[in-house]
Amino acid sequence: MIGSQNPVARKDGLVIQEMPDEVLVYDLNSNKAHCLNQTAAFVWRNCDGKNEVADIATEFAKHSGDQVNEDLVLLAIDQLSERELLEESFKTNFNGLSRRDVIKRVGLGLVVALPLVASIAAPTSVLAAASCACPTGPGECAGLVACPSTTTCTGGTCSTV
Amino acid sequence: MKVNQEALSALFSMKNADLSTKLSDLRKLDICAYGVRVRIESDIEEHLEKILGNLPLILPERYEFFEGEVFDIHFHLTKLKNGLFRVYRNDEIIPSDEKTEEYVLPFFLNHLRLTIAEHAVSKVFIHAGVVGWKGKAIILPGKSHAGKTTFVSELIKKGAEYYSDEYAVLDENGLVHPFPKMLAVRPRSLGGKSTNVSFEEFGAVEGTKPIPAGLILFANYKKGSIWNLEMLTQGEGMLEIIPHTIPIRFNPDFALKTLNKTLIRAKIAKTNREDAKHSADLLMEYVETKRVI
Repeated sequence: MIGSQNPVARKDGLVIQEMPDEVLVYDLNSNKAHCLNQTAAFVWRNCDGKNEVADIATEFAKHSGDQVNEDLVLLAIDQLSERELLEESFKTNFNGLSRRDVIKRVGLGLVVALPLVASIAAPTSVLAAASCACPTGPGECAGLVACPSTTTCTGGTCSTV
Repeated sequence: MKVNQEALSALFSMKNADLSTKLSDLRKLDICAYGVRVRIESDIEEHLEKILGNLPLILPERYEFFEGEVFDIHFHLTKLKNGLFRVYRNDEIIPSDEKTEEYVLPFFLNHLRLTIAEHAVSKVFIHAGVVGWKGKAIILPGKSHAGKTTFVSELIKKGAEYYSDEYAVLDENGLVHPFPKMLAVRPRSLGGKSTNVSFEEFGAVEGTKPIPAGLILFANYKKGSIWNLEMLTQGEGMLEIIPHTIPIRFNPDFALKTLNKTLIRAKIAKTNREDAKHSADLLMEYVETKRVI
């Protein structure tokens, strides 16, 4: 069963950087960055609230010259929704199949790339990105005299906060 | 740390008389670096002398003094009743342990440099080592203690130009500028403590011009690992470099535009690596045989 609403790409609170074959989306609310591959980016751009999933699949087939079904589009929408890149959460149900099974099924004979959204979180502070990281615990902080704390590791940073 | 007036004077091209005046009236220090105007004050006047003496180490010749009452960032090193110190930035406490006399300055200097890196105007600072090779930059993003300095030192011994062991400074056109601070090496003989060494001691030359990026290599030190380059797409490269991008939260729009302009010209790869010398050999072999640059 497909979600009844038509998906709408979120625009507010996002910084979007277009690249030749991918799109980088930085979420100002969560401070996470997402990289959409060409397929995922196409689906996202076509989530305009007017297109149903079937419409997006049709457009993608025209664009790519490849036979695609709605599952491909749903795989993209599933990832986009999970990462809060749609205006509203979009519930996808692959007729009881797992995402993995759907990927296997969709991927067979497909020329275009499966949709992929990869994500990373920006560090919580400049210190975390710099010299005060303590990934293995407070023991790493002793001797880091330039850091906020030389004894406490909080959230991966030698800090009391 | 003692302040060597003659050395400082030569460095700043100021007359001894002018520098003496500045030091004698040192209740505040106003510096401008990368477009960021910073006022520094301390309850202890001697701190300002020491900060002045350390500025060339943390901001290599890339700052100037300014006159006036308009500034972007205000730091105050405050002595508490218990004799320990806190550092305030724009009247807000910088969260930390209360610092002893010995540790407050290293803590402050670290924050000063990071603050400038975060707020720099029209520049994006990346935590990375950088060398120049045939007019292109090889950028090696990585956190401190990740082996950047060791790797950079091996590359400059092989003839690469020294740009930095700490920051890649990118401009709005995507070019990479030098940030030639002294290399902070950590010899085993000092038990992991760092000491500052000039790039000249490695027989290296300094890169002076802004250059485009030729290769961005994410090479994480991992004991027992095998060198195995995996090429990345531009998007994958952007994701990898974001955690090392200092102003990413402060100014994400400009940071991403600048990163895009930098990465679009370059090859991007990642690998684990072990010994820095061997890794440097492998890297240069790759660069030359694949004509990456």
